[in-house]
Amino acid sequence: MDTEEYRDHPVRSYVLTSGRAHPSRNTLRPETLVRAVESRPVLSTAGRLERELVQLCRGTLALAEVAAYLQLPVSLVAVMVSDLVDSGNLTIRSNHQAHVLPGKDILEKILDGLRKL
Amino acid sequence: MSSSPPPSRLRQVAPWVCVAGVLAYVLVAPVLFTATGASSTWPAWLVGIAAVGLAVAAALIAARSSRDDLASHQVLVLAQRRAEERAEAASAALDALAKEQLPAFLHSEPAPPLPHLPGDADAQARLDAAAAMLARVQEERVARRDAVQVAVVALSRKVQAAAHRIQEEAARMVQRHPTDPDILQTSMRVDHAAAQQARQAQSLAALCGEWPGQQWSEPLPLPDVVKGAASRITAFHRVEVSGDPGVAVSARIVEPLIHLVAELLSNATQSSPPTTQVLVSLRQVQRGAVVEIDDCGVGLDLKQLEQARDIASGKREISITELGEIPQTGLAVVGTYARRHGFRVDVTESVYGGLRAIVMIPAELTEAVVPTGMLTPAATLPSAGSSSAGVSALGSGRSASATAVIEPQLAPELPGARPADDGEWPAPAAPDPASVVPVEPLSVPGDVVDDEEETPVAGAQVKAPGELPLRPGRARPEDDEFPEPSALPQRRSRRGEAEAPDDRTRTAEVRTEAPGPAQSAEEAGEWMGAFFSSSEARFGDSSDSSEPPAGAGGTSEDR
Repeated sequence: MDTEEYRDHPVRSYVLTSGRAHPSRNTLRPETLVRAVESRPVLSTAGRLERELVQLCRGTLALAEVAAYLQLPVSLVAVMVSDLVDSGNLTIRSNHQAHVLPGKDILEKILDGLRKL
Repeated sequence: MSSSPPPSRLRQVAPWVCVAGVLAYVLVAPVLFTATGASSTWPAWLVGIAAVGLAVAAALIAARSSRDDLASHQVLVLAQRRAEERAEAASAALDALAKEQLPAFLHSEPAPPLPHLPGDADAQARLDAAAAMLARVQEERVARRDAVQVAVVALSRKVQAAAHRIQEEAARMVQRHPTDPDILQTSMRVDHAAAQQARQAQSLAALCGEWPGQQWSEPLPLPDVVKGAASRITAFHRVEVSGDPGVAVSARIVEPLIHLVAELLSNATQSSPPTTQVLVSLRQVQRGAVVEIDDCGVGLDLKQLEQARDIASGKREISITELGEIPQTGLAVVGTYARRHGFRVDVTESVYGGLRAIVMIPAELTEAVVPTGMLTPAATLPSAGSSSAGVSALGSGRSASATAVIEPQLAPELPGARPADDGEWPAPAAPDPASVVPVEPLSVPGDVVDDEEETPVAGAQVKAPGELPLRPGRARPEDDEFPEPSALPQRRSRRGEAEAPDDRTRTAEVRTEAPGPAQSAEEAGEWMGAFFSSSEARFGDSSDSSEPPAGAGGTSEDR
């Protein structure tokens, strides 16, 4: 299936997250959009990968995209991203207006129109 | 020599003859001097003359014989001296055999030549025979040891390859179930166990004088080297790395250095209490880069420390046959690499009470990368023009390899070509606001399919032509001095030109029209931002969103 995709790296995944595989927040999904908080400097203790991740997310990117660019498993990136969200370097773009987009009046109009059919 | 016995008998007799002559003369003398008659004195005169003659003759004989004796004595002394010399030479030869040749033979070192024995053909022949026999035994021994080593190397290679296969399978397992944390957890454990197995196998091969089985093609920043080393020890979470001097090590010594540091870390974690950290500090010095590893154990006594230092610095070579019953491979491996690659390793007492291992990597084996201190987003966010280079200059080990590999991988990874078993996901770039709501089930409304196809396809098209000429320049942007963020694009392009001079025109042309894959991450982000800003503009009422509109940053970066 993915015979040529395997790519080795000297730094193994468990070192990147100190052995944690479960993200600190469970709301992260592959399609969750994350974005760097540019006003907040990355902690000096952060590794290169964390910095790179924040750098990548200067534009809004989905978690799965970040994982693809970093060539890391999505579940691993989720751990790192949720850590960075905890430290305030990334925000999850929760699009509230998505809920309210079809306003009640519009829905009622659609319903009316449907009934008229 | 043969003339000595008769004179010696004469010599024994001569004094007595002399004494008898003198006595005879003394007895005869009164008769001679008291007698007056001439007729009666002549026999006495005869006897007196005979006695005197006898005495003189005896004295003469005695004198001559003593002269002969002296000569023969000298001959004897000479012969004795010669015999002593020969005995000395023979014992020296024996000494050399016992004290130099045999120990050298034991340690498999080249033996010093045996001393020559002149004038003693017999002993020389025996010595030569002994030396020849010794050489033959040594040859056989070396041959046997070589055979053992070859077998050990072959076996350890197999074990190592098996360990790497396990790691690969673990990684594939995660790839097949990319969102399952439990599987990631299992994969981590498997990976960790296999990494230690691979290290042990590689230690064996290294002690047999072989190169490590793994090779890396990219230079690796020093912190990643230490993290890679920590990946291979049991207590990886106790390793604390501090400092990033902005130094990467050259690709060809990445693996030896990782292995070396891993052995030192392994020693450090094993010889200190499990609750303590092992502190690793990295710094750059005039002659290269330095890794210092401190543990908080109890250290070693002076004699052990001296031994450890000799072994770790490579001064004392330890082959696989000298490891002993409880093999201590760590320092021996360190010494092997130190000797082979010119690392300088020292072990001293640590200020924390335990040991401090210091590894100096010579400057010619290092390359410069951007130190992470310069990578704060504020510092590297100047404009869209340099932002692509900014991201690629981040390209330390992982990013460099990651960006270099994105081209082949992006095509299967990002567009809809996902494998069937995780097809439940929407494509990662799904820009549909509805699907972003975290509690929403994973469903893709049909009307955004066009949109989600766009990002990856555009990225792939942009990347394809730039793949070859861009790769060297992008893969190692850290060769120059620490670049300022704004100066990055020029530096990178210079590097690219230097590495591929014949492609210069094509490279330049391609570069202007085809940004690197790192930029496509940027582009994707901007595209996404633009999408949101437009959608927000369309729907207008973004005032209820607690955060600033995401598109604002993306669009401002375009200017």
